[in-house]
Amino acid sequence: MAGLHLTKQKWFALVAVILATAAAVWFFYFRTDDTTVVKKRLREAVEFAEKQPKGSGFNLQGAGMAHALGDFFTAETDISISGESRGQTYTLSAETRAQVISSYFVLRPLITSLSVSLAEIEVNFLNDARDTASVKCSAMATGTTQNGDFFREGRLISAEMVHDDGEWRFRSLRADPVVSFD
Amino acid sequence: MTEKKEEAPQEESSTFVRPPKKRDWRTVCIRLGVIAGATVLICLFVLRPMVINGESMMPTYSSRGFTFAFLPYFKIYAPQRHQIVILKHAGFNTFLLKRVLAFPGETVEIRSGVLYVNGKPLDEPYVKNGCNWNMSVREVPAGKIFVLGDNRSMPMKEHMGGMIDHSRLAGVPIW
Repeated sequence: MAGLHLTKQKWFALVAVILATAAAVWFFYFRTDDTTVVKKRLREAVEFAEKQPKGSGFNLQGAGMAHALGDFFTAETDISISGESRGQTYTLSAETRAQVISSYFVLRPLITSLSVSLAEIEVNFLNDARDTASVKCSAMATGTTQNGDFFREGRLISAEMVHDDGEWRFRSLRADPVVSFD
Repeated sequence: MTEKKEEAPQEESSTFVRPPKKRDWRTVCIRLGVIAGATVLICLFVLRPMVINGESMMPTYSSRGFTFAFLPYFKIYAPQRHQIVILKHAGFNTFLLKRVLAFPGETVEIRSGVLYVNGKPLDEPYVKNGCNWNMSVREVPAGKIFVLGDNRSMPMKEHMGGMIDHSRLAGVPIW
């Protein structure tokens, strides 16, 4: 290389730095242990929920997305999302995958844009087989409703995920307000 | 015959001309890098700049105000009653600014806008607007604290306050 004259020691140092950087990139971004797989699946579910179905939602694409979201849940599930927003108390609950699909199909079109960021994700495996995990994290959802109202809500997420039929799925999911009077 | 030589006045030794000092860009870059790195670390972990967004702490803090959060505070001190604290809302990018009012084991109740802690009304001179909030008696559970904003003029359901995990205490505003 023209103009690049390195001594032997400097070449060794350069190679060592490149190797260390590659190792760090692999460790933080490409390492796939059980915990990483569960976190990745959690993020996939969130990214899927953020996707906006085109049109009114009551169409083929909306139905397809609702069914695809259903794949993130076990057939028997327990979902409870409650909170207070703009003076309104709401609770969203579902006990089966079919209820998740129908809730998504009806409710998702009411939100025109949605962005969810997860933080402080903790994964603990509940058995030696490492096929059941408890997941806790905090989530910040920002978006706009169909009426044009902007919302920003923080929630504490606690979930139980199981490795079922080749994929990690939610067996239960709770989203509670970070701060509440109760 | 000796000729007395006239001595020329001596020039001051300090007034000589130096060639212009060549700027050492490597040193400048390293210094700038160190300063930038130190600033980022301080802003992330010690004094975090914050823009206040919301009216729940009015009139003590108005919306669009600015402050710094001193983050290591609760690694040294315990929270005090009436103290304004910064709480992690979700992650490390959105925080809540609230006032600590009760601790684990204490009971809290709101009757006609007056906060009662352990059955006694709490003097809150910072609350400038009255309200008609009501909340039945409840005990602050272990590991939690009870917080409220200073602005009680809004309906209680729109006010983000109540019990929050002690672990979410992030720091204190420096003004």
